[in-house]
Amino acid sequence: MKIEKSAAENAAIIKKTFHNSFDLQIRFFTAAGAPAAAVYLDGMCDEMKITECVLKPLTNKENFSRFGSPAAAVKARAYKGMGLSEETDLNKIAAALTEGNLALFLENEETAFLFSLQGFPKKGIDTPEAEQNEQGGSERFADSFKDNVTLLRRRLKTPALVTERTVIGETSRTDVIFCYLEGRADPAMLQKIRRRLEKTGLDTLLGSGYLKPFLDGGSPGLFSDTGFTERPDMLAAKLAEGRIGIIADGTPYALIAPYLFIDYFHSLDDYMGSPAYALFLRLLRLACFFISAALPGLFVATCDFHPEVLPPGIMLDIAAAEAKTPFSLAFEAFAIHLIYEIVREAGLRMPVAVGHAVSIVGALVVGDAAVTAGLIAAPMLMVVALTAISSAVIPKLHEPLALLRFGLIALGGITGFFGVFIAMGLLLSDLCGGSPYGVPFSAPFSPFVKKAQRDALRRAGWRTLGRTRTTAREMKFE
Amino acid sequence: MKRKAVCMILALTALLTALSGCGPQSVELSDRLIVEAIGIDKTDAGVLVTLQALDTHAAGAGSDPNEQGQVTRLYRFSGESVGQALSGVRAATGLTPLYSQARVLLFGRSLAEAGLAEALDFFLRVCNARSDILIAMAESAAEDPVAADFGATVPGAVIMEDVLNGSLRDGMGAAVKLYDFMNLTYTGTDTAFCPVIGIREQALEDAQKPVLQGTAFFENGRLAFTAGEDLTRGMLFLKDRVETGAIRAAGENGTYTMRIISSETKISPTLYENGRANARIRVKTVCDITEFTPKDDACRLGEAEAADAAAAGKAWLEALLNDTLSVLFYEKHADICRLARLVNLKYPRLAAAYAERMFEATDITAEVEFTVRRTGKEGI
Amino acid sequence: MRDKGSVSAAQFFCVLFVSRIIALFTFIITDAAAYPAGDRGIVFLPFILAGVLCAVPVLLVLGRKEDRTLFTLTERLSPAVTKGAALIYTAGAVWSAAVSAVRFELFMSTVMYTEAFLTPLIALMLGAAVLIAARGLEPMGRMSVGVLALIAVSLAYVGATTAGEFELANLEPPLQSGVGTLLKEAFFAVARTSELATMLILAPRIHGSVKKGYLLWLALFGLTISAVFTVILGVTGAYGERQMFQLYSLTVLSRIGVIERLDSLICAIWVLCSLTRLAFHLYVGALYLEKCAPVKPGAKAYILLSLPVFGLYLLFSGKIVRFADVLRSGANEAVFSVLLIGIPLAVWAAEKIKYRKRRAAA
Repeated sequence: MKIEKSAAENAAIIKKTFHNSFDLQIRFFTAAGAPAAAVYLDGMCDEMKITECVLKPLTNKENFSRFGSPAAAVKARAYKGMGLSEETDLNKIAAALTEGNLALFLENEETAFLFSLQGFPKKGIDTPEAEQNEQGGSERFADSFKDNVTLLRRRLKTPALVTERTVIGETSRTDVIFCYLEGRADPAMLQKIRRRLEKTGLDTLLGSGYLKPFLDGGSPGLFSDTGFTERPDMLAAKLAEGRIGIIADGTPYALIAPYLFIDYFHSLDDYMGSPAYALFLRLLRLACFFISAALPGLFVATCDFHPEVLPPGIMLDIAAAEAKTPFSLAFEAFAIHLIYEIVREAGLRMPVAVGHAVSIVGALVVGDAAVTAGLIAAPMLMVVALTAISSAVIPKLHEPLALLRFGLIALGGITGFFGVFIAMGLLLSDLCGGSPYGVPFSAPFSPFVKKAQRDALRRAGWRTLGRTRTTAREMKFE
Repeated sequence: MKRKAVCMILALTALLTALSGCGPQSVELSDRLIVEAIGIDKTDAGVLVTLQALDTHAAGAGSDPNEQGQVTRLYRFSGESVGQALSGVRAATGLTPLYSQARVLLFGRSLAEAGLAEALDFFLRVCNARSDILIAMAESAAEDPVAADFGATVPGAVIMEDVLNGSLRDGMGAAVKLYDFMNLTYTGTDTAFCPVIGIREQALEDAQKPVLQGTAFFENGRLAFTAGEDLTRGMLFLKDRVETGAIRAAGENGTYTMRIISSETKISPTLYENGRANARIRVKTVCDITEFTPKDDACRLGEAEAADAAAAGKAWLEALLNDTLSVLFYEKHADICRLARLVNLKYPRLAAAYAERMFEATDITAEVEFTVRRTGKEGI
Repeated sequence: MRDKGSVSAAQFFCVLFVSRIIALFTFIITDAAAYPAGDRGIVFLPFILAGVLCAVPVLLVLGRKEDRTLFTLTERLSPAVTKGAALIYTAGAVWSAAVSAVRFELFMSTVMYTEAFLTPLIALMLGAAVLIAARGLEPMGRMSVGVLALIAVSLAYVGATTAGEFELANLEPPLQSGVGTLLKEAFFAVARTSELATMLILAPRIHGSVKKGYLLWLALFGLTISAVFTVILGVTGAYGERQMFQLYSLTVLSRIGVIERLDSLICAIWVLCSLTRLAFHLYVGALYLEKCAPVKPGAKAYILLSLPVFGLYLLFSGKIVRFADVLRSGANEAVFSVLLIGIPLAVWAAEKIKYRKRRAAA
C-alpha cells in the first residue's frame, strides 16, 4: 500500500493498521518547516533518542529552506547514525514500527523516513546456567538477536562470518539469524537449511526450539540432529568447524546444525586442560550416558531375571532390602523415577521462593521416609540417585534419556536382558540412522574419519589441533 | 506413518507379552531360594539332597546385614534322582531355587562309590547351575558338612569355599571345579579327583570346622581310592597347581621353613619306537626362608646355610615327587600328569597303543630346581 | 550425497561378519564325528581356500568392475529367468532368517529362559529387525561397526579371564580323521555362510573393492573360528565338547574377582548380532522381492517378508529334534550350492553364450 501525500492521513492509516492500539504514538509537529507526523510504538523506541536524533535537529530555529525541501533537510539534519532509511510502502512501514523504528511522514512527500531508534527493555548478558565451565568465559546469549550477533562477532573477528537475516512467523515476525563462516560451511548444507527455514509455515515463533523439528533431517528419532547452546564461545567453536548457527530473537539459545552424537559429550573445558584429562572427562560423560539410560533397566532385569550376575554379597543385600518392600522391583523403579521427574519439573517451574520446600520434600519424603517406611528399598534409591546424577552430567540429553529410561525399565521388567538389548539395538540403529545434511550422526566413529579422531573422543594437543581442522563438510558421505 | 505402525505393533507385542503371562516370568529376589551349598547322599530309595540356602526374609527382618550366618536354612529333599528330589523345592518352600550362587557341591562317600555320573548330570544340564562350582567328597555323608554349624557369621558354604580355595593356594589341597572334574572323567585316560572334606570339633569354641582329608580319585566316575595329605601335595606339584605354601626341610646345618613364592612344572614326554616313553618332569620352585632352626645354637643364617636350605628343599621335593609318582602313577595307575593326553598331542598315531600299556611302559624322571631367593629381614 | 542404500566396503563386511558370527556363537554340532575338535584350530586355512573357490561363480557374475548384479545378467536373458531367480533368492533369504530365529530361540531357551515361551520375544525381535532394515543399508553398516566392537570386547574379556585355565593337555591333535574330513569341515563351514549370496544384489551399492573385502572377511572370520574353538577346547576340554553351545559354556567360566557369571550379559550382546542378521536378511530379501513382485523395498516389504520368516520359525520352534534333522539333512548346504554356485554359474554361462551368439550374429 503506497504512502499518501498527507502526513495525517498516513498516520491515520497506520493507526488503523494497528487497530488503535494504545501504545502506538503519533506526534504531529513541524519538521524542517513542514507538517510532519512521527509514528512509533511506545516502549519500542528510546524516548531520549527520539528527542535528540529526530525532534531536536528538525525543530530548531535553523533556516531549513536552504536545503531545498523538507525531505532534503531531514536527510541532512536528522542523526544518520541511527540507521536512517526511506520507505514508500505503508505495510512495510508498519512492520518496521514493530521492530523499534520510528516513521516520519512529511506533508506532500512520497517517502517516509524510518529511524532505527530501538530502546525496548531487554535482559542483559548473564552467566550461563546450563553450560557451566571451569575455565571458559562467563557470557551467555541474551534475548535480543542483535546482542547475540555482537557476542558472536566479538569472538570471530573475521569478515568471513556471515549473518543472514530472515523473518519467520506470520504473526510473530520473529527475526532469525542464520550464521556461518564463509569457506568452511558446506554450500549444500546452507541451501538445505535455508530451504527448511523457509518452509516452516509457522504462525508464531517464540523460541528457537520451534525450529528444531524443521531442521532435524529425516524421520524423527530419539536424538535430535540439531544441537543448541547458550554460550557464544561454543557457537563460535562450532562455526569454526563448518557448522551453521541459527539465532532466533527472544531466545538465549542458538541452534547448531549439523550436530553429531559425540558433540553432546564435548565441553569447552575439554580444550582448556590437558588432553589426557579431556579424554577422561569425555569417557566419563559417555559412561554417564549409559548409566543414566540403562542402569535402572539393567538393574531390574538383573534382579528379576538374571540374578546370577550379582556377586553373592550384593545379592543378599538387595534381596534382604527388597524382602521388606511391598512392591515389585520394576514398579519401584518406575515409581521412583517418576517421582524424580516430578521433583525435577517442579524445580524448574515453581517460584524460587518455594525452592527449599521442594528440596526438603524431595530429600526427606522420598529419600528418607519412603525407605524407612519400607515402601522403597535402599538399593533402588541408590540406583536412582546415580542415574539422576549421571543424567545431570549431560543435561542436553535429558529428554531422550528420560524416555529411554522408562522404556528400558519396562522392558527389563517384562523380558529381562533380551528386551533391554533389543531396545539398545534399536537405539544403536537410531544413532546410526541419522545423517543430517549428509553427515552421519555417528560420525566420526562410523563411518570412521581418521582425521576427525583428533577431536572426537580423545583430544589432541593444541600443537596438532591448531595446525589443521576437520569441518563437517569433510565428514559428509562421498 | 509406517514407522509409527511398526512401533505400535512392537509396543502392543510387548504389552501383550507382559499381560498375558507369555514370555519370561520375572521372579523377585526375595522369592528365590538362594542355594549356597549342596550335599548329595545315596540312600536306599535313591538320593538325599541337602541344601543350605539363604533366608532372605529373615535377612530382611534383621538389622545387621553382616549376620548372614544366622539367616541360612537347611532343606532336605529325597527322590530317586537328584532332579526328581529338587523338583519338589518350589512346592515345599514356595521359592524358586537359584543354584547360580552355590559355592560348593558335596557328595557322600557312598554315592562316590556307587558312581557320580547320574548325580552330577543335573548340575551339568540346568542352566542356572554353575559349571565352575567347587566339588568335594565328604568323609562320610555329605549332609554333615552342609548341615554343620561352624559358629561364624557367614554361611558354612563360604567357610568351606574359603578352605578349599585357600588350601589350593597353599598347595595343601586340591580345589576342583565341576567342569574340570567332568573333563577328566570324559577323556577316558585321565584320572578325575577331588578333595575330601571332613568335620572336626573346634577345641575352644562350641562349633565345628571343615578340614581337608586328602584327595579322592575316581575311575569311570566311581571312587577308586583316596590319598593322604602328602600324596595330595606331591600331586599338586606335579599338576603345576601350587601357588604358595610352606615347606619344612631339614638340612645339614639346621631345619628350614620356607615359603613358596612360585612353582612351575613342565612335563615333556618322549615316545620311542619301541613303545616305551620317557616323561621328564621339571619343577622349578622359588622360596623365601621364613624360619631357621640351627643345629648349633651359635650358627647364624649365612650363605652356606642358604645353599644348604636350597639343597634340603630340593631333596625334600624330589622325595615327595618320587613318592607320589611311585604310589599314584605306578601303583594305583592314576595318570595324574595327563601323560596320555600329552603323548596323544605329540604322537597322535602311537598314542592309542601307548595308553593301553602306559603305566608299565613309562619311565618318569622328576628334576627339581630349587632356588632360595630371600632369607628374611635378618641379614646374612 | 550418498543415499542410505549404499555402503562402504568396510561397513558392508562388518555387517557380514556380525551376521556370521552369531551363527558361530549359536552353532550346534549335530555330528561330532564330522567336526573333530582338533581340526578346528587349523580349519581357517582350508576355510579361506574353500571360501575363495566357492566365491568364483559369484565373482564371475559381478564382473571385473564389480558393478553388476545377478539380475543385470538375468535381465539380458529373459524376464522369466529374472523372476524365477528372484523368487528363489527371496526364499533363500527367508529361510536363512528363519533358521537364525529358530537357532537363537533354541539358544536362549536353553541357557537363559528355560521356562519361558519365547515366541512373543522372537516376534518382538522380528519387529525390531523390520525397523532396523527400514533405516537402510548404510545405517545398518554403521550399526554393525558398533556391534562388532562390543563383540570383540566381550570375546577379549572371555578369553582373557579364562586364559589361566588353558591346558595344553585338553587339546586334540589335528588331522586325526584325515585331511578329507578337514576339507569337508571347511566346506561345510563356508556352505553355512548365506551372506555371500547378498553380494549378488548388493555389489553395485558397495563402495570399494568387493573382492578384497571378501578375502579379508574370509580370513578374519576363519581366524576367529579357529581362535575361539581353540580356546574353548583348551579351557573346557572334553567337557566343553559335550556342550550344546560351546562358546556359552566358556563365558560361564569367565570371572574377575567378584565379577562372575556375566554370561547373561554377554549373551545379551549377541541379541544385537541376531538383530543385525535378521534385519540384513529382511533388507536383502526385499531387494530380491522387488525383482519378482510389485513390492518396492520399504517397511511394507519388510513386514511382508517377516511373516513367512515367522511362519517358518513357528514350524521349528520348540522342536529340537525336527530342527536338528533338518540341519543334519544338508538343507543349508543344498541352499548354498544352489544359490551361490548353481544359479550364478548357470546364469553367467547362459549370458556369455547368448552374448557370444549375438556378437556372432552382428
